[in-house]
Amino acid sequence: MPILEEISAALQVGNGKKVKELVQNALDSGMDVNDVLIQGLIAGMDVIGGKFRNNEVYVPEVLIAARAMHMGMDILKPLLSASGVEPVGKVVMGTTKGDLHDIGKNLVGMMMEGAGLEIIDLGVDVAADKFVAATQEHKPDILAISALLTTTMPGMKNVIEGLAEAGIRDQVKVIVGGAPVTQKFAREIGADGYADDAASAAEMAKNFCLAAQ
Amino acid sequence: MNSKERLLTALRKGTPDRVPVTVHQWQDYHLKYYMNGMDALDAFKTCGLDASIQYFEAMGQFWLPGRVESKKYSEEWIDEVEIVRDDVNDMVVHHTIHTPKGKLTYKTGGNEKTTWITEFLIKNPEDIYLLKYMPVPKLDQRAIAKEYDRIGDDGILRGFVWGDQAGCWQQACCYYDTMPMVYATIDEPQWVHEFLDILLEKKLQFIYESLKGAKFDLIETGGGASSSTVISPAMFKEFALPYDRRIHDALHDAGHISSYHTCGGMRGIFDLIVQTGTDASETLSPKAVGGNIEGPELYEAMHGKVCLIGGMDQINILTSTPAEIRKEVRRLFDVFGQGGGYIMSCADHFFDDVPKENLLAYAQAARECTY
Repeated sequence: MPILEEISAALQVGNGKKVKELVQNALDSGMDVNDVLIQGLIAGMDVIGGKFRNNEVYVPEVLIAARAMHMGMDILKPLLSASGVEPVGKVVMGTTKGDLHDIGKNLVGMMMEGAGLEIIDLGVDVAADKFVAATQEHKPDILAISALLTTTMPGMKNVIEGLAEAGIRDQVKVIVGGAPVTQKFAREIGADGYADDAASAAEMAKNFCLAAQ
Repeated sequence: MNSKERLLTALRKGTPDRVPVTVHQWQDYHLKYYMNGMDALDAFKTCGLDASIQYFEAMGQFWLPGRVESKKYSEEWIDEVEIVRDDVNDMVVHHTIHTPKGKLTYKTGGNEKTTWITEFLIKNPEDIYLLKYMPVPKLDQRAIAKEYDRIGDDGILRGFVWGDQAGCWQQACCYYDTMPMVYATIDEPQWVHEFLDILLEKKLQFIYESLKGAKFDLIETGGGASSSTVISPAMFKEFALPYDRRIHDALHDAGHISSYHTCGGMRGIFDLIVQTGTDASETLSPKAVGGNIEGPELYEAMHGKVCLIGGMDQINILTSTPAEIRKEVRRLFDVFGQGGGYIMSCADHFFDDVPKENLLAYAQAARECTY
């Protein structure tokens, strides 16, 4: 099996050590860093993302695949920076104020990273003003907000209102998600996008970034 | 039939006079702001619902609301509490647990509605050995009997299994966080089993010491982290099923029946839930509230094997209009109610935007779903 396919296969079963070893071998054999990223790591995450969307795998399988991807990325990141390879776009993300749930948000972040996006993760329990300040500071293409609780969902609206008050609402696409969040809710609070699973969120974010280029 | 007979008939997978209808653990916040401060039993009766009362005793659970105080649970488990922020809408509480072999710490946040963990109790793998000092308190049997008698024919009394969550896997996730637990199942599966065994031993002790002879109609088991939106079927099979089965066997041995709570996703684990030996399965959460099931598929796989409880979308439907609620009640009855063995209930808690008139419409519509 060609080494890039091996990387993709090892990533899909969450074998991080193997991914790391194969990525190093591929680079040592003179492969282009961008090829290793796109045809190895991102290709593997694409497969897992598709299976997740089709209900063929569950959250744990995606988590361990994403962890394996990170182990490969640890090797690639410094080389990507040095070679001038640019990410598809930049995403600032976080979970709303009062919400400590982070699996969904982490999963989205990992899938987005797997789709070639740069992620700035603000973590959990993030107040609206912190989302706004991070948007001003990092100038992301996408602001992704997560909530698992019905009690914390209104925090998403506060963020969007905060962006408007700061005069930067039109400078960033806001996408929202989380178990109780619906398309209807997203529309009502003025979000640009809603995704009901991590793979769809990553695809949507990537499409927004590509459309803006 | 009275409410108790109706609920118990459905729990036995039988066919009552009409579908029983209830809500899942009425929340104090809702009772205070939407039901004029009445208690849960009065709220059930006022709305015409079949009462399903959750019995509660404080035992050091992390989710105890409000301004908790330091407490010596035993000589070997002393909870030293520091109120970091004393604000009912933004409470922060730090706990230091003193044991003979070292300290454990955890922190919670909270508001008027709920409490959550901001720092987990188990930080290093070896911390689990300190859990052996954690005492297993005994329930107050007289208080249980009093509550049982107070409810009478108006409904059932639900009990609980010791711990922040009834299931071992689920409680472990409350102590170590869910994502690290998922990783640990891959990296250190033996440690995970050791952790779960420590918790199981205490749960079985509680069942035999406190639940045997207790006047409960139903015991809630399981918990959120066994939802298939979090755990995979393979992981459920190895890390939840064997422990849940031991708990259910012990409950049966102690003369009780159980309802296994998955708090969200059930797709892919229908048969595994049945294999835990539970008598009922809740919460049949629709996708709009974080579930992942198709109703007919679930009914096909589980009807007749366990009593089904739940299904009502408490976020999008119960907050809508009486007409929408009536329509959904009829749909749920058609999907889950055929042949009995079904208790219509909200898929989970609700706090806001469910006025009394909506609950009245919910109960009235269900009363028309006769067999």
